[in-house]
Amino acid sequence: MTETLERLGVPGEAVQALELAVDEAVTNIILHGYPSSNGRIWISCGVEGRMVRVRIEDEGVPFDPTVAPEPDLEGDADERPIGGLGIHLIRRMTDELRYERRDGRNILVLGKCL
Amino acid sequence: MEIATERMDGVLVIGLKGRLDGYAATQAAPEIERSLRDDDRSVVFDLDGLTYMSSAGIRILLALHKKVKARNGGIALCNVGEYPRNVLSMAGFDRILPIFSSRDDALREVQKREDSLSLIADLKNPMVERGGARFGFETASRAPASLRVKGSLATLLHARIREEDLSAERLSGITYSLGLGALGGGVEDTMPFLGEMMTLHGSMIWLPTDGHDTPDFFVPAGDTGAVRAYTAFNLSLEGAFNEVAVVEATGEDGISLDALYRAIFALAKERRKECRGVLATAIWGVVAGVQSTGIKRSPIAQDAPANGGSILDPENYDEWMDVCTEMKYDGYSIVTFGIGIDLSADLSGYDPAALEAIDAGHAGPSGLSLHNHGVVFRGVPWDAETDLVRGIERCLAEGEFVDMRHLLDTTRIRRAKVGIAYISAIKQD
Repeated sequence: MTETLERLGVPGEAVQALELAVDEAVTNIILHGYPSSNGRIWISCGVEGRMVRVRIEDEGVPFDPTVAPEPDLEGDADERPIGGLGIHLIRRMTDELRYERRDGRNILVLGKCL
Repeated sequence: MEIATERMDGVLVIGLKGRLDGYAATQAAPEIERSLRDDDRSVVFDLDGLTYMSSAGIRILLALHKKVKARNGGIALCNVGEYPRNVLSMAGFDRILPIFSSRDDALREVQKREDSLSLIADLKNPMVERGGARFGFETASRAPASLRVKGSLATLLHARIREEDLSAERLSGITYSLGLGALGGGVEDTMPFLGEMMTLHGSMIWLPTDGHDTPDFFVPAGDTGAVRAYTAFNLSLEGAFNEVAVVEATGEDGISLDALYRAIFALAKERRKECRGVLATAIWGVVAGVQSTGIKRSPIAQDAPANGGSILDPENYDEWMDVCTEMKYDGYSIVTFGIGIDLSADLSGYDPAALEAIDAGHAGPSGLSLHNHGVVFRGVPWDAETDLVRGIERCLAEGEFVDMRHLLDTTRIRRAKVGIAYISAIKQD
């Protein structure tokens, strides 16, 4: 994916940001989306005007990361929950985050302004 | 993703290079788990060459940080590149995890903490150095302690055990014992599987001689008195420990069991008039390496060596004994029970028959005859503030049970609490 984005002329900083966001989203799907180790994930990307978008689709259990609560980033290391960090990083790394459930698929679109 | 672990002045340093993503994290986590000793309080992560990190990487750092913080320690990061530093900062962890610019700075900082922790311990309990370790003593029971012995080591070692030598023991009544026995429905059932065993606080751990070399750990649920172990030889402590030694080896390699007993005997000569040459000890500690033996076959009369000799005689040894001279279980926790006899002492105050029953007659080069069994556990944090009995109970309740062995005198211990009973009498059943 990073290669494709680079080929599309997306600047390095935005590629890095999307790389992390996609890593987090895909890791979530692998860990929680499918009950077994069999399952497909489709990733496509493109540039439209001043936005670069990555679209991630899966047929796992319905999950809308856009409504997941923010993790507590304050407090001591002992009290900090270990979960929820991935979604926080996705939000920090993107300018647009859209989710829909259609035809039995989770469709997550991550956008970044150029 | 490359992971390299090493120790610098005893402190675990973990180097992570390349990309630490979700997949790499699943590879790194067990490797880190393996290198962490039960007595580690501080860990340095050197992230030099780490070009990418996701939340999976943060989770690894955070999980370890929580683990060692519970031991009054912590982790420190160094050589953190721009990318991982940004990820840490976005997740709010740059304020929580201390970050140093070099490995030396990070090590200096954690060493400071280690030093202050041991200084506090020293002030509470002054230590003397002897035989490669530092010893501090806490007084425990003033009441004299004794040993109770059932059967004899000679009968065991000559494989002369008969059905009439077996009898049932109620486990819940025994706090510390070692011997040869088996769990089962009755004498006939258990005869073929007699193996080395020990009892700790009512739990029985034994190595059945069923050919699998796999120990059993049995914790009776509630004190029903229904569970019985059939033993042919059993050595149990009656009474409590007279003192508890806090032992810290001065070197990374730890102190051998033989040197530990030697030092305790030598210190007892100066400090404890009641020491008459026989000690019983229970140890809770962290090992630098376990060397051990296990008896392979049930030493019953019908299988006795044809030459009438001992199963420890050179010509019989291999057939009867499993020997592990590889140093195993570095950094694991251990709970032991055993005895030491100083053969150079005047032992005439003990009942000669009872003394003979517990002495294998195999003195080491230092003139001590030792007999110790140990249970190895994993994942029980070492804490010098926890007392011996609580530490043993924590191992039994929370530790991951790994092994049970007859310990060779060369087994090495890095730090420990040692309960010492100066045996006043040996009683024979």
